[in-house]
Amino acid sequence: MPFWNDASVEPKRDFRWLLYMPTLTGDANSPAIETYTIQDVQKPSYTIAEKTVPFMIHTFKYPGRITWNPVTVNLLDPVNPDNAGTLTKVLMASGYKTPDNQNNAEFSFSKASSVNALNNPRIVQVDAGDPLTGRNPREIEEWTLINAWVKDVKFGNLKYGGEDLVKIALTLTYDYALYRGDYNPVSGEMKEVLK
Amino acid sequence: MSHFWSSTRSESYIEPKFQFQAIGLTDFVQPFLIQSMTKPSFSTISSETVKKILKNGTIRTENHYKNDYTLNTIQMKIIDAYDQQVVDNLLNTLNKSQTIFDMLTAGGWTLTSNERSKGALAQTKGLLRLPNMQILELMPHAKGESKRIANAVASAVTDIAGDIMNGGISLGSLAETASTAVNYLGDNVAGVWTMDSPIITSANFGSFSYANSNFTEIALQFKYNNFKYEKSLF
Repeated sequence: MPFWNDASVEPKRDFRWLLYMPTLTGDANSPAIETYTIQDVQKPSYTIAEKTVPFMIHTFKYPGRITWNPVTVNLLDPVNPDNAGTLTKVLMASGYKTPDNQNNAEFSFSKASSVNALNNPRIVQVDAGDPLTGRNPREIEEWTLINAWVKDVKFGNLKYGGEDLVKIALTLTYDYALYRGDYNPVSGEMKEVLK
Repeated sequence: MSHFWSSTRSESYIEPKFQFQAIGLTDFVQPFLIQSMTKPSFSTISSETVKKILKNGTIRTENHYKNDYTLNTIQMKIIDAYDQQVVDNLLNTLNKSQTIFDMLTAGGWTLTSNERSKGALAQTKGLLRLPNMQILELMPHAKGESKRIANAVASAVTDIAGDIMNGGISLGSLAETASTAVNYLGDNVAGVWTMDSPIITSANFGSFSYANSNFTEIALQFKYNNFKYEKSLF
């Protein structure tokens, strides 16, 4: 049974992760969001509504309906790749057209196009790899956001009073998430846990 | 051990029914499109009040049942939708405006002649006395294995509800395969409400508005001759 004095025990670390957003904008020249430009992301979370039964001075609680909560992503905006441009193309691939005439104004979003534009993002945690054997870092946990679409985009703030990099804030909403984990360090494989 | 709210042991387990633990079944609307449905209800069970003067002058009031009652209409809200598939009949399309309009038009409720024979119209009107309308109350989990087997033996269960939800049975074939609600007493079903010969008495196809992002909903009302409730055997 491992314990903290076992040097092979390596807990998950909050800086060892990658977010894959293989956006499909319909533009072959528009790359997916590069993982290195993504600064932080929340893992999926859910909330189960609580319904109560009062009796005398007591309250008994029963689980109700489940809702998967949106995740927020912050990414940098290098000039190349142009993340603002890629996200704008995601918007258009989702069904938006500039309403400069009635024909364009009649378009609207569909779930299918919005989901396809984002193409099921994956949040992956990796281990440290093994420099002795040259083994590359392995995936030790994977969340897949099913039917995800971009709910909110903030293209950043500008000001003369600072030197920060411009950050884009995204909110992704989704129907539910899948989880692969239960990592086996010997085989290097994960299992489908929440499938 | 007796039942109480704090009990989670299997022999005394108690779980209240939730409003969301139910499925509405009809021949013409896919269950997942039905967003809400009222259960059958009595609006009045008629009674009479009799006042009797006893020998010592005391007035006694008695209430008695009379042989009359009124049933409330059933309200159903359906999300109207469309898909990209070509469907084989009007019942299977997700465009429920089309389904309901076609049903009523085929029955003769149309401004112009639909060129159907009198006999065909009569037959369609008969079908509009919808043969199957049920509300399944679902439990959050399947019954215990031994109880499930006993239940299957006792009622020769075929889990048609599950087949419908999985797309295994088309809606149009429902009438042939499920004549009584007993057939629905599957693993997760706590009880079944069955309406007798419901008819559509109101169809509201919704509205459009640029001021919100709501789904278009179709509101239907049904009258019915009577209803029954069947509890699952276990």
